[in-house]
Amino acid sequence: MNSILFIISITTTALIGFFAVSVTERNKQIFSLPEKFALSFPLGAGIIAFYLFYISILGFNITIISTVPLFMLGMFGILKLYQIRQSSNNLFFSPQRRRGAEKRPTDSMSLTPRLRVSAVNFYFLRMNQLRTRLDSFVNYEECWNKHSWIKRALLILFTITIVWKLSFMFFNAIVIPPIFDDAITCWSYKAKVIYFNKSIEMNPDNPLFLGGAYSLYPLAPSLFRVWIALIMGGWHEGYIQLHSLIILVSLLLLIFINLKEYTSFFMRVLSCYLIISVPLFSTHAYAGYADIILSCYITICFILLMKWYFTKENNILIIAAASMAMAIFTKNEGLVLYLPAALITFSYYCYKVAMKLDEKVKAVSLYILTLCIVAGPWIVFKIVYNIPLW
Amino acid sequence: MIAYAIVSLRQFSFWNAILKILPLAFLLFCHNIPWASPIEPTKGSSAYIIKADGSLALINEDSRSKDGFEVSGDSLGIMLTDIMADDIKHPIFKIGVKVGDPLVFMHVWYSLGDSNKYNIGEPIYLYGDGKYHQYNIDFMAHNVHGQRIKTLYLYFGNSINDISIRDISLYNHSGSFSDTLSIALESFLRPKLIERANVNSIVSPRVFNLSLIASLNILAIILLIAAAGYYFWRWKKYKETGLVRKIIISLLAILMFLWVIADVRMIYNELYHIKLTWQGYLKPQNNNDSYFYDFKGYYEFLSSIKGNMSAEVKAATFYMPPNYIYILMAKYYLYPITVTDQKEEELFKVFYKYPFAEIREDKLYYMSMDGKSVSGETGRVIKKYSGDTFIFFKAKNE
Repeated sequence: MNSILFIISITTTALIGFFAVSVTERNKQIFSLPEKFALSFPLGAGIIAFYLFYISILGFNITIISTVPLFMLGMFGILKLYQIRQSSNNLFFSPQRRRGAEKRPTDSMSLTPRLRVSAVNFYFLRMNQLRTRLDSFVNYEECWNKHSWIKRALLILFTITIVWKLSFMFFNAIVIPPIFDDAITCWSYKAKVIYFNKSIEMNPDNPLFLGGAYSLYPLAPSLFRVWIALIMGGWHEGYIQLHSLIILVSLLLLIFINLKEYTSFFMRVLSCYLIISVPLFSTHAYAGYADIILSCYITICFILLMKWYFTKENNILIIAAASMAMAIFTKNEGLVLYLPAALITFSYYCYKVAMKLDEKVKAVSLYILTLCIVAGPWIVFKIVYNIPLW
Repeated sequence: MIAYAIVSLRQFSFWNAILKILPLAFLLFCHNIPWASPIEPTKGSSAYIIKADGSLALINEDSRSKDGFEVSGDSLGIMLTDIMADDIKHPIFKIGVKVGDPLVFMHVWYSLGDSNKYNIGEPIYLYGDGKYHQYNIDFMAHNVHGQRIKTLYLYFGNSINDISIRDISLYNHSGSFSDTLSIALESFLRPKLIERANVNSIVSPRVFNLSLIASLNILAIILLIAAAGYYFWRWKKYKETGLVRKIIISLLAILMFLWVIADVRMIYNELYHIKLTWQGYLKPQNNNDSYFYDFKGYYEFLSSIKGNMSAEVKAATFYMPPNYIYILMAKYYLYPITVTDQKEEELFKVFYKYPFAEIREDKLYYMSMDGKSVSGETGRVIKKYSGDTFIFFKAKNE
């Protein structure tokens, strides 16, 4: 039962993120479906964290009732997914699949063989569909056939290592109780305090102010853990610690998908391997820390800034700015180290991009406005309550 | 890419020499080669067993070198004083340890003659197969010139039972390349786990007296400079010879190769980590006394407290060893119960491995860490785990 509730909590998160991305790109096909899926979970987690923070500021309690709007957003996400499924020009749900699905067994067969043939047809049909879908994501010819045996061997080696690393992280997250200092004194501790008190303490004189530990630390990772506990109806360490691991998987997927335009399949696998083999990543994925979550948001921000530079689609900037705001709400480094870096990069791109001045002004306004709307209240809150920004 | 790099590498005679030296990897299997010269220890050097209460028990000379001695029960480890006669440039400490438990580790501390104690930085996990193994501890990085290592402290963690020690000796590194390689290999192969409090730092094996991670970083910086020079500055004029390009590709290949080697080592650590988790936490050995890292039985103890608390208890105070992590873990795991450290007014008192408390005639007598003694508190013992570990609920009218 716990597993089902956990799956509901992360699926709803992903659906909320999916809905947000779909709404932002409007009718333009800016992102491929795998890219949207990869963006969904981190963005959904950020939206949930901000939502819980904002309702707390407004004086509402954090209970399952107060999360109803989030479930509604999740439902909208399902509707968006259904809409995309209906559209024929999508990368993932390709026209071939729809043509194949119209095939029906003929009436000339008797019932039993017809069912059998139907089952066989259905099986092959499904396999073809799967293959077609995967082809749009990774191409077999490119991935395997054209490589020398050395590259094939290295591909197998890197893939096994990636799978091993993820399994190791999963094992540790699910099995080992939180033991690392910052998890039990800050990130998970704050989450536990907020969950059991059903609110964020806003009185600075109360020892439980902002979760009771390190009030200068942002709340996003803790608030998302509160969400998991709310849906699961209790505090289950193993599941709550999976937060960072899921974000890491999203990060790997994002990098793998986005490098497709620039490099070969081999180099994409190698890049994913290099990222996952960074030793601290394999610890942070189960230690209950916030660093991987921060890494994911800043990576999304920079990837999307680059994407905007090439596509000149201003809608991308909304997600880029929102993910930077989420980075600010995840760790203070987001504000002090990465926001200046993002602004410098964005300024450089603005200078170089082939756009008219008024369009550039519009793009900058959109980016800054989104940043202010999403992250502004948290920074204002810190200033009002005299909490150090760093 | 690697193959191309190897071809280009063959042109360098230095690398040919390296390829010839590589078979020295067989040293991997030669733990007991007498590769360093022994040093005559100071005449006044002594070895002691450190007891849990801080007292020391002298170990005689024969036991140290031949017969061996046991560190178990209420002992914490051993202390060796005045070990170095002269100012030695590259001291190597050797010790033979026999342990029957695969989860035991050894913390090595040293002092340089002043009152400070320094840790060498990583716990040494011991082979728990019940046989003597020799462990070589390289002090080159820790020995300060003119201020020689004076005292060594070896503390054992997890399970201090049936630990036998013999052949304690001090050696001086001969300075030869094979010695250096041997030390590097031993350091490389020793399992290194990420410490609970040091999650943001990597315990890297030292290869040629430089950490593997530092070597990779230096190589990466050289590579970046070479690549930047090739693409941004005027190094392209060497394009005809292809030298810069070959160097860049060779460096990249070496970096990748070293990275994979470091990762293989990391995977070895991860496997070791899983083994420890399995043996110590998932498959507890003695009466469900499970543990992870050095918190033997503490998780079960905290769970047990939860089970023994009635609904009206909202706060508890803990008396435990002076390690801050115990109280932090209690605060986290028992929340929403408020946990305090040695607060006399609290009714629900938890004593965990606290030797300064006892129950006599249903009354509680204890002394807090600041020396304040409390005698004859009435109440009831909720659960008694051992003489120094119990839960006491103080009567409200006290």
